Amino acid sequence: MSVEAAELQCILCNRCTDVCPENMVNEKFTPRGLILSQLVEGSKDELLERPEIWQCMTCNRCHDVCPQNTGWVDYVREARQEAKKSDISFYCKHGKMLQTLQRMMTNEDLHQDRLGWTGDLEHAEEGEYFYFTGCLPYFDSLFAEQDHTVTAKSTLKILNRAGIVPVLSNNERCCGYESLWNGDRETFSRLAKQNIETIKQSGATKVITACAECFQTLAADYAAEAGELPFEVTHTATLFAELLREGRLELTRPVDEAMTYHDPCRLGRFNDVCDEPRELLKSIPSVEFNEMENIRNEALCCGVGNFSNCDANTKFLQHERMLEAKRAGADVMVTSCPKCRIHYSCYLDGRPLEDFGELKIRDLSEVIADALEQK
Amino acid sequence: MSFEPDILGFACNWCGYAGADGAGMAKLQYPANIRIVRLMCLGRTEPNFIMDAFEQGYDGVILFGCHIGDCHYVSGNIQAEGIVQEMKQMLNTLGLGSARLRREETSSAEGSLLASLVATFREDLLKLGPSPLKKPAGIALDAQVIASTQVGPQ
Repeated sequence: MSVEAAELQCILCNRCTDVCPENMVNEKFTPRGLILSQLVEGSKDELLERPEIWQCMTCNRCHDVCPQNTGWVDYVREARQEAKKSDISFYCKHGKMLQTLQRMMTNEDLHQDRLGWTGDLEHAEEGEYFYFTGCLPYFDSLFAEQDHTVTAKSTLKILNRAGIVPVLSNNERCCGYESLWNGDRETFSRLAKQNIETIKQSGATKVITACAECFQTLAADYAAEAGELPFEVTHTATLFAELLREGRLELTRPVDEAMTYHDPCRLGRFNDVCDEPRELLKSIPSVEFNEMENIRNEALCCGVGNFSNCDANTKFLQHERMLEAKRAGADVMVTSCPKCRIHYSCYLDGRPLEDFGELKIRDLSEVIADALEQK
Repeated sequence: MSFEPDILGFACNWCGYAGADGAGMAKLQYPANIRIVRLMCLGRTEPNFIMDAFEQGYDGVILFGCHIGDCHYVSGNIQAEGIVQEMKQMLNTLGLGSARLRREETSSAEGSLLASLVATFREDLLKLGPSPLKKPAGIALDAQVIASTQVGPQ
């Protein structure tokens, strides 16, 4: 839908603003208000200069309550693409590092060396399953205070244990999520083309990913970009739950911790994968599982969308979520999106507004790998 | 056409840049492959300054700052070293190789050292060959590129 069509679709009912997490901490931000001012006196050029289109975290919380299906996040995405075309460049976090990396990866001559983390775990060059690692090896250098490839290692370990030897490729490119959502459609298209080609060449028909954002991009946005895909995309939460039901995965080792689960927007709200992670966590022996107040498609956002915004408001949102986890009595907040893990850990490692004790943020794969029988 | 590496240098105002200035005053000869960007302190270096240079097709990036302990802002050069180590790791993952990035310590009196370091870096880059990200048209220095590398308004 074009920007203008979305504006005409909106009936200005304000339900989006009522639920918007950004509005909770920044009352100047209101989707309805922006559309209203656009309808009354705005021009498209003015819209592209508005800070709101970059402050939105694209968490899609407004979509569920919108009676008109206005599609606010698509509106924002469209506006960012228009802004990019008009050379309106905004400051993105980490000095636009992720966008730079993605532009680098569009170069066909780049031969990456990204499998250094695999150790003695088994992987193949051809096969039925393709494990799409995403940016995890790069996050180890970019956010060096945390270990990110541990997620990839755990995922591969679980897959191996279930008898799956997935394809891992040095030719894999970044999925292009940040480029797509920050308006750089051209980079996204090139990355999509390269990745689809890489997966095709490996002969894989099933693509697995442990990242909620890679999942959304590969499954939905690649299909929208390139038509029907020659493979099926599954998030590890869904796959592990299936393996557990089939008895191919046995979680026998007790983990004596209180856990809670944070739904990442791309998995919960965009793709409705909410039950599988909970089913997995509840099946680990000795785990005490408690829910927070805002869960499933009403979950709070981690505060940073597509690395386009991170400020004091973000920290207030993260603080809210940490308080919820604390009230749920959790030692570990589990999530299934590496980006949520980065943003929440960043808050906890920094200077949180109060003491959260031993509260840790961990990835679903890490927790499940801990519950596997030791060999 | 024979290969000549393009080098981007970052130099701190007090030691690195003053050293380069000194080299110029003393009329020392050193390769013209390098373009130097002056920063007030190497602590200003962001990871993306380095990666953006490689994305634009530079073959190597070199940082000139004060000797450890001599930083005019106490610890900017130590911060820069942390970033350089992380970016070296990233260059390895990217397949470009960590040898394309260097941090050197030159005081304002060490212009001749700076000149010889640039010459050695050029020699080493000649052995490594061109960066896979090198653009056939060379490195553009038009106003648009300069504008796109500037940090926009928040």
